[in-house]
This record gives sequence, structure tokens and C-alpha cells, in this order.
Amino acid sequence: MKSILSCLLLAVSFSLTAQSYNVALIPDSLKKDARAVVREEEYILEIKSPGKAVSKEHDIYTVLKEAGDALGGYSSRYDKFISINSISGSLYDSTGKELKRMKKKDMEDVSAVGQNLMDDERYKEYNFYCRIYPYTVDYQEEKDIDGIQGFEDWTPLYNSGISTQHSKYVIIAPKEYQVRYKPVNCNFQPVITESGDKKTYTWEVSNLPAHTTESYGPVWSEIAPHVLFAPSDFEAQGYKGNMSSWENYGKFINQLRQGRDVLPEDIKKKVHELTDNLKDPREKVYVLYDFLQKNTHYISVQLGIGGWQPFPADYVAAKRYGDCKALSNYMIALLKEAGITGKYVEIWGGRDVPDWVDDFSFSQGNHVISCVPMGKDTIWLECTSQTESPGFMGSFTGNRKAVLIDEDGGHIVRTPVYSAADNLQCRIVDATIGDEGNLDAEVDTKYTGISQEYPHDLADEYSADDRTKALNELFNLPTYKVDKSRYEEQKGAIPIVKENLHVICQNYATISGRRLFINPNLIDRSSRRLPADSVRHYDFVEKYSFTHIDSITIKIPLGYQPEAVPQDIAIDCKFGKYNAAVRVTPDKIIYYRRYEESKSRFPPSDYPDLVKFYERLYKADNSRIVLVKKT
Amino acid sequence: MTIHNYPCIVVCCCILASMTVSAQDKIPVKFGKVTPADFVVTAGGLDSSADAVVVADYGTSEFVGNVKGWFTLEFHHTRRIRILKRAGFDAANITIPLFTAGNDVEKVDGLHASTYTLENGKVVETKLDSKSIFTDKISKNWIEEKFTFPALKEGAILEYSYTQTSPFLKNLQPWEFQGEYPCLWSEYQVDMPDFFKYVTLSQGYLPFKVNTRDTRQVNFHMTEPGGADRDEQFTFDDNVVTHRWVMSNVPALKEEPFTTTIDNYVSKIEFQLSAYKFPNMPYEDKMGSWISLSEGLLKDDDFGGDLFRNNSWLDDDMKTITKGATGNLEKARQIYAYVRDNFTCTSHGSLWLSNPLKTVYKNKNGSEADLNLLLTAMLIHEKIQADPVILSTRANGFTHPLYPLLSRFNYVITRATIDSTVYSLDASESWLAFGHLPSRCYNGGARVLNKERPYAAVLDADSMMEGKTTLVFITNDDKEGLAGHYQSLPGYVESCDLRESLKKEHGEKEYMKKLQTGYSGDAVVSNLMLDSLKLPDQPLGVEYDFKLTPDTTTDIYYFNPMMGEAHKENPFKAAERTYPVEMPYTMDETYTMNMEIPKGYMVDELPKSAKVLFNSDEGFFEYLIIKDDQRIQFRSRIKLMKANYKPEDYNTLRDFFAYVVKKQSEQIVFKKIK
Repeated sequence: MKSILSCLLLAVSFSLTAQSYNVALIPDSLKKDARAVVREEEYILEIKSPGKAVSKEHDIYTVLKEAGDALGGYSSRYDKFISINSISGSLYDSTGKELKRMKKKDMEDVSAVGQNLMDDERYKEYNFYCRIYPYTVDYQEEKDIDGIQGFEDWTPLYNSGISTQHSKYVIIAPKEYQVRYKPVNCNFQPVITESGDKKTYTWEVSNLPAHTTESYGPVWSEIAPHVLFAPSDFEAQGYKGNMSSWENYGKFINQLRQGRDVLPEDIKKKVHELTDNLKDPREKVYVLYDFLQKNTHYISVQLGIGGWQPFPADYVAAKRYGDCKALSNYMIALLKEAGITGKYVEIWGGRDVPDWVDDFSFSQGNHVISCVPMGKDTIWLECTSQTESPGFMGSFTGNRKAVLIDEDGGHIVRTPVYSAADNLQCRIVDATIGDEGNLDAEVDTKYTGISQEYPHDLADEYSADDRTKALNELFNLPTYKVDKSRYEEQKGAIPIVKENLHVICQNYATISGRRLFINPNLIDRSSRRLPADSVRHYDFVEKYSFTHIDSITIKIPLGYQPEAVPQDIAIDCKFGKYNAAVRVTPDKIIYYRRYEESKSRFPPSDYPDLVKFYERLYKADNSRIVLVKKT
Repeated sequence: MTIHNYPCIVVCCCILASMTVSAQDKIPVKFGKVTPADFVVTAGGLDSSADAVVVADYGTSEFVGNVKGWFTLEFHHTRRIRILKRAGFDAANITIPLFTAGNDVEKVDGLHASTYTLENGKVVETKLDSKSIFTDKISKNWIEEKFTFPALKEGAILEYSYTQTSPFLKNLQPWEFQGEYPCLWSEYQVDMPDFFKYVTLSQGYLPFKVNTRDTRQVNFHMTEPGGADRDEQFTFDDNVVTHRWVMSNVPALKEEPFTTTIDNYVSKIEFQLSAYKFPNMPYEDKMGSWISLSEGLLKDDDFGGDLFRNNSWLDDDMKTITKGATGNLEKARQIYAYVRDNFTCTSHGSLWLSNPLKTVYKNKNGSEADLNLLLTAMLIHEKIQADPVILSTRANGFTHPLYPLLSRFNYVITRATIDSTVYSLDASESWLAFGHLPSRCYNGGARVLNKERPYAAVLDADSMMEGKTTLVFITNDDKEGLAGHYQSLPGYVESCDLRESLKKEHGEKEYMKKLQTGYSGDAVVSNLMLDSLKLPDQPLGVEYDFKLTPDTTTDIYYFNPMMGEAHKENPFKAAERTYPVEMPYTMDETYTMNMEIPKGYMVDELPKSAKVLFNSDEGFFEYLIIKDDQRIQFRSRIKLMKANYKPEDYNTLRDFFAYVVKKQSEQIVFKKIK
């Protein structure tokens, strides 16, 4: 990967007071590929004590064109810990002339509840809605922080298409206070000065040109230079902790869970009823997980220190709901009652999330799961799902680092990764094309691992109507209807879904005069066509491994003979394995296709070959058989 | 239009109902009493796949004298739901929106909710605890009371009840009989005192099971606050009419594509305050007429009050804005372009000014009402005849054709009359042209507000035509390939969408990629030209060159004359339709291709020419192809004269597009000359 820092210049002498907003002062190098420029970003965090701090932020942005408007507005979060003392803002035209001012009272007050049932977080928002480009905005705010859970990171390059003229991050702390930081994708180091009983740490950087992200490229946090910060000793809402190591961090989280695993008597009784007669501890885990799934569901309430602390087990028992923390904590309590040790695991949930930073201990992630270590094996449990298999961690939580928390503290762990053989999609199609070109097909598919996630959702999470709707929009077929669908599931560490569909498609085959055009690949056609960019900057990332196998038999009307039949194709290269073959007999077409890819990364130099690889697949998957009427 | 005039329904149903009051007409459940037998209720014959069913939904509204010498509305609501499947758990999340305006607030009292489950044959009740009821402040005027039912599981019965009090007489609660889940019994009763007159509006396709009215005498108490003096107590008697509406076995209503808004088709009842008529007091009209509505709005400081002032703050700037304009039309164009290009529209769908016009002008931003009323004022300032027009957008539902119901309107545009030609103007979108409206405005009844003579204006989607012409030339190049030129004038809506999408980061680059990757086969696209991209008043033109290389390893070259322009999928996917199809516009799409027969090839087979008519004279699809020794000429045209179709026309429409998709996929077959 090309270093993003190649043109980095440190300009410590930059003076904020001599600020001019004139757009003419932006060097051309910062306008290249840029929709907006961070003219000045200054963040000063003054830590008063482990639980209290004051932050001052001053941002000046120039928006060059409409696509950069996101930086023209301002949004500031506040909650039980953070209160906004003051915010002000100004708008300037391209010459630096002030056009308008804004004060805190002009701002809109917005709820952040969203999909949660309740959340005490809120936002103050404002926008000048300027339309004359370029324009410059200047925002300043001061916040009181009462209760410290972590610190903002410093990412001087905000996002794709935004350059930065000058950015500065300052921490002022009592001399004895341990400021922890870790530079990522860079080697930014602070200038440290002392005065009286305070120490000042200053990071500064100038003139970072804009970068452009690429499709199938790495996530931004992997590209952008940034510095992570974290406290050592900290306090929030009467809780005291230390996060200088994963051990200490884990002990703190454990402390928040103290006494929250008490089950009501009836649930205890239920646990024994369900598990006392079982010998195999695995069986006990499965039975209790099933009990959890049948008796709870996900509802999110985030109040106070709720971002860290789960609701107690008896709360979940009474209400039969909770968020990921509460449900995982409850699951662990159920296991404990059955004499099994379950562990609490903090993790990033989602497909496009940052990697867990394991060599710097701080609060990260957005999700909690639980797990049961069993000798060499571990049973992973997603406690917010009513339908997931015990032990399976798919694209939402699989193949990543996380921190497991127990009484000894926090431990970095890795969730399971699935191979191309684990993520199988194996399809058998038995179809008939009538004289009019209409198609009638029985489609039987077996999906496993990550490949079964979508059909699993269709079968379990969708209502019957939504499922019908989704199935009727899923395939790339002209005018079709799925009039029957049936699903069968087998739970397991690699779950299996078997799907049976009956598909009717009008005019699947094109009849042009004497000829019949048929694409033998009914359903699984590669649609990936990569633009042949002249220069690729970043790695090409293939996130998951999978194998797709299609065996298709299509009965055809009599009286035709083949005029053109796609040639057999077999590709075996580092990007994947693909082969397809088709045979035409007087009454049917037999088609076979196998496509396998493995999770991997390819350097930018491989990109032109990747373009060709996917073009070959696209062409092969879209090639047609031409039949002509016998004369 | 499905809005019925209330009196005629009531008259006929009333007679019927009074003769047939029977046990069947009573609400079939006892709220608060759940027995094991209640756990067998499903949506049964109504909807066997339902995830949840509303067993009974019961509401009453009444007017109660208050301590401010006036009346408070009391709405009592009780509802029983049964969860049938896990996918129905969402039915357990309840939100009650409440309106507030300064010190006047709507409130919820006595909220009770319980989950009932059957455990070993016994009914177990789990009550909602009051700590789990949350209040979320959404905006200045709206708060939400929210909760979710505890102890949920499949098969559970949920029941809740509350009283909502409102000081806003205009907010007499409407009632929706139909919703996301099927409903076995839905009943609403309103006690209407004689001294308040409301117009009742009902809509939807479903019949009432009960629709009765019953008159009785009621004694009203109220207290007039005395300030420094003693409070004064009042009581008086008046007739109260109890209206009762019931629907039973109501199916769920689900939204399908090409629908303006499902709200137009939900079975519901709503009310509009029309008058006060207190004993021994003169009749006081509260609804008015279209004329009084127009007058009122034009006088209102939050709407048209500023329009007819001299607005001298505009004097200087208007000279610059209209500089060089000769004649009123040119002036109007310059003013329109000024507002469109220099102001940001921060929200669409408001009827009222958020600031006085002078402030809007200074801020350079505002809602579409702010911007278009400012535009009106600027035109009037230049002595150009301009009127504000109010309308309801497609997503907001239809306006009422008869009653002047202001609450149905949510959008303001401008209508300018210059040299007796009328121009509809909306300056709220940067990609709109002078005299054009966005498709959301084409929703039937709009109202032109005018001091002398306000009038109705119909903005019908049937009158909005999306025409597109595409021209493709293909010739043999000097090597073994084909060189092509593509030229297209997209329709107005497509042009607007394209202009909007090209504004995004790397918009043009992305569009080019899409063209390149969207082409089937080996086409190489170059020299993209977008004509008048930044000039919304000019039609947008798209032009580019492309190269095709026939596969020389085989004897046959198959070629689809539609290239990348074919309709590949039928837009009408659902197999059935229960309510009208409302497309945003009519269409006329012509694609013409003129090609040289590739060097070294001869035509082996051409697709057949064809023409199909849609409902005989409402449209057609034409597919014409001819060849001579050197060239092939081809034309495909789709024309539909209507945008709105009845549900009965759905199958014809679906078949029509199925045919288009099929025909447009056909191939020309070239064979190598041996």
C-alpha cells in the first residue's frame, strides 16, 4: 500500500490568531481531489481529574463544492456525562468576509434515540446552508465532561476527498496523570512541555492532501493516519477503574457486572429442570441457549453508564428483553446456575467495522456476545438472536479479535473463521422451457455457513409476505414469480439451510424467428465488473471465502439443434477457481458451474488482472446457447 | 378518489343499524379479563400468515368542561393484540405522539399495559412497570411516549389502555380501522356536543358493520379562572350525539410500488372543526370557504402577509437581479434562477413561513414555502402577476375536493401569469427549470390563492409526460470492429435525477463507470459529453462514442439492437393488485438505431417487427426493424397516455411490460460470409 504520509510536513509554527479565511490561501496540492478542506482543527482537552475534563474545539472548514456540504453543518453530542457550555459559529465567503453568525440558541435540539427504545444521548445541530462555493465555516465549542470513559481519537484526515491544512490535538493534564496514546498508520509524536503542576502534550500536522477510497478497498481506519488516546485511571458515575492494560480494563467491566447475575427462583428452578439430567456440558449449553432464544428478545435502552453496564439478570428474567450486554449477562447467569462458566466478550459487530486494536487497551467495539470455553474448543453465543445456531459466528461477529472478560481481567481472543468449504451454496435446478420460451423450474439449494445467512433470515426473520416479496425481487430474471418456497434448517457450528423454490419465468428464453436464445446459468451470474481504473492505490480486499456449485438441467422444446454453445471454461488462479461446462442433447441442456473464492487481499499491482478475471467470469456467466429450428 | 361525503353514508346506515342492534354488534372481548380460551384467537380466515392480530381496538372521544372556562378533548383508547409469530414482536412497541404548543400540551394519563401468557394452562399477567415508560422529545412541538411490552413470547396477548387529553379542539382524534396487522374488531365512538360542529370524513374500500348515532342530554361543568377574583363555576345542558362506527375482520393493508401513498386507501375516519353553536349565541363558522381560506392565508403573517407590503428591502437587490432583462418573462426567469441558485431548501413539505420574508432573504435558506413565497413576493415587487399555490404532495395524500381543509395541504409553489401564459414555479430544487414542477406536486387538487378570485388548479400526473428520445449510429470502422455514436435526450424527470446524481463526489466519474460496466459485451465507451448539465433551464443531452468488436472466432454474431437501453425487468413484479396503480407520469420513449451491417457478415435473421396496443387507444409498443444490403434500421417506441390505472388494469399493464421486456431482448443474427 502506498504510504499516505509521503507528503507530510510538520509546521509547528502555524499561528491560529493570524488566521485568514481567504480561500486563496489554500495550496493547490490540497485542492486536488478534494471536496472540502480542513483549514484548521484544534482540539484541546484539559483533564482536571480522572473523572473530569473540559474540551475546547475549534474547526475551520472550507467547502469547495456541493459534495463537501457535510462539513458545512455542525453536530454536537451531549448526554449525562457531556454538557455543552458554549458553541458559536460563523460563515465566510471565499474572500474571507464574514457573512453570518450562529449561537447555541440558534441550534436545533435533536433526539438520538433512533432504533433504540430509549437513549439519553441528544444532539445540537446547525447548518448555514450556504450555496455559493467555495465557502468557509468556523465553529467553536466548549464542553464539560463529568465521567470519563475514553477520549476522542485524532484523525486529521477525516474522510475520502477531504484534505487538511492544519490540525492540532492538545492534552493538558496534571503532571502525575498518565496520558496514554498510540499512533496508528503513522508515527505522530507529541511535543511535551511542563509548567507548574501541569503537563501539555501537543500533536500537530500540516498539509495532508486528500485521498480517495476505492471500491473493494480497505476501511478508512486502516488507511488514515490517526492517534488513539485513553486514560489510565478514570472515574464515571461513582465507578473507578484503570484501563492501562487489558487486565485492568477487564477487571473494571467485571466490577460493573458485580451482583448482576442473580436469577429469580423460578428461573433457577427452570435451569435445573432443563439441565440436571444432561451429562454432556455441551448439551447443557445448547439447551440453555435455546431457552434464552425462546424467552427473550432484543430491546435497547441506553441510559447513564448503560453503554458499559448490563441490566441485571433479574431485569431480563422479568421483562424477557434486553440489549446485547443484558442478554449476554443473563445467558452467563443461566450457565452459572447449571455449573458452567460462560464469558462476557466485547466485540465489533457488523460487516464493515474497524479491526479490534489489541495492543492498546481502551474501550472500543459496539457489541457484546458470550462464549463458553470447552477445552480447546469454544462455543460462541450471539445472545440477541432468537434463531442463530449456537457456536456460529457469521459475517456479523466472525473472523475478528475481541476482548473476553472474566474475573482475571480482559483477554484478547479470536472468533472463528470459515473456509470456502464451510460457506457453501450448492444448487440443483430441474427446469423445463416450453414452446413459448417460458420457464418452469424447481430450484433446490443447500446453503451452509455464511452463505446460509440470507436464506436463514428469509426463513426465520421475515414475515410470510415480506419473504414472498423478497424472493420475487431477488433474481435477475425478466418477469417471474416464485410461487412456492420451503425451508428446512439444521442448527450446528456450521448451520445448514435447505431451500426449495418453484419459479415460473415468462419468456426466459428469447425466441427470435427460428432461433431460441437460452442462458443456461439461471440464477447465479457474476455481476461484478470492476472499472478499469488507471491507477489503483490500495489493496483489493475479498472478505469472505465461499464455494458456489450449480447443476442445472433444462428440458427444451423438440425440433431444435444447437447453433452456438458456450465453450467449457476452467480458470484456476490466485483470485479464484471457476469452471463451467454445458452439454446440449436433443431434449435437454445440462449445465454445471463451480466457483470458489478465498478470503484474501491482493496488492494494487494485481488489480489489472483482477479486472480481467471478473470480466471473464461475467462473460462466461452471461453467455448463451443458441438453438435453431431444424429445417 | 375515495373520500366520501359523510352525511349520505350516515343517513342510510343509521336506519339500518337502529333496526338490527343485536349481540353481534357488541365488542367481542372483555378488556382486562383474559381467559385460556382467548389464546386460540388467530387472524384465521382473514390472513393465515399474519404475524400478529389486533383482537380488539376500541376508542372513545368526548368533550369535557375544564378549569380554563373551555373544553378539553378526552380520548380513551384500549387495545388488545395477540402475537402469533416472532416476526410480530414489533407490534409490542407502542408509541403515542403528543402535540405541544407552549403551555398547551397533550398528555397521557392512566397508561396501563399488561402481557398475558399461558403457562401450564394458567393465564399469567405481567404488568408494565412505570419506569419502563419513556418520553422522547422529538421536536419543539412533538413528544413521544414510548414503551414495549414485557415478558413477550409467541402466542402472548397484549393489552393496553390510556387516556389522552388535548386542549386542541382541532385535534379530535381520527381513527384508522385498518393497519399493519389484521384486525378483528375496530370500534370508535365520539360524543359530539351540539355546540361544536365537525365535518366527518371517511375513506377506504371497506364497509362499516355498525354506523349509528344516538342523542342524549349531558350536563357540562366548567370553571372560569377569576384571576384576582374568585373562580366562576358554570354548568349547562346540551344535546350530545354519540356516533358509533365499527368495522370487523379488517385485513391488513400493504404498500405496493407505484402508489402515491397508502394513506389514501386506509379505511379511516377523521374530523374537521367547522363551527361553534352555543345556546343563545350566534353561529360561529370555523371552517370557512375556499374564499375565506384564501383571504386568511394571504393576510396571515406566517403565510402571505408580507406579499403585498412594499418590501422596500428588495428595492436595491432587485435591480441587480433583473439587470439586463427585457420584458416581464425574462425578468421572471432571472428572479426564479436567482432564488433557485442562491438559496438552499432545508425541508420540503411545509405550508407556513418559518421566518418573515426579509429574514428568509437574508438567511438564503428556508423551507419550500419560505422560498416560493419569497419568489412570489419578488415577482410581485416587479409588478409581475404572481399567486401562491398550495397543494398536497403525492406522499402526503389527496386534498379534499369540497371542504376547505387546510390541514390536507403541505406544499407551496408559485404561479406567475405573464402575457396571459401561466407558469408554475418551484424554486426549491437546484435542478428544476422555469415553468416545471417536481413530480411530487402532481397529485390532483391544488389551490391558487388570489385576492380577487381564488380557484382550483388540477395538477394531474396524467398531464405530465416523460418523453425520451435516443439515437444510435453504428458504422464499420477501419479495422474489424464497429464504431458507434450514442445520443440521447432523456425525459424531464430522468434529466433531473441525473443532474442530482452527477453533483455527488466523483458523480461524473461514477456515471462513466456505470455506462462502461452497464454495457453488455465488449463495448468500450469514450468521449462522454453531457450537454447543459449545469443549465437546468435547458434540456439535458447525453452523448458518447463506443466501439464494438465482434468475436471473430465464431461464425455467428448475435446483436441486440436495443444495446444497453432495453427494459430488462418488468417493473410490475407483484402478481396481483388491490388498489390503483399511480405512476408519476405518462411516457413516450423512442429508441432509434441505424447500423451498417458488419464487414464480412450478412444478416441471417432479424427479429420480427411488431406493434401492440394498450387498452386499444391508451398506448402502444412498437418494434420496427428493416434492412437492405448495407444497413439495418430499427425503432422501438413505448407510449402510455395515462399515469393512473384502476386495479382491474393491473394485469394488462403487467402483460404489456412483460411483452416489452421479451421483445426488447431479441437479437439480430449475423453470419460470416464464407
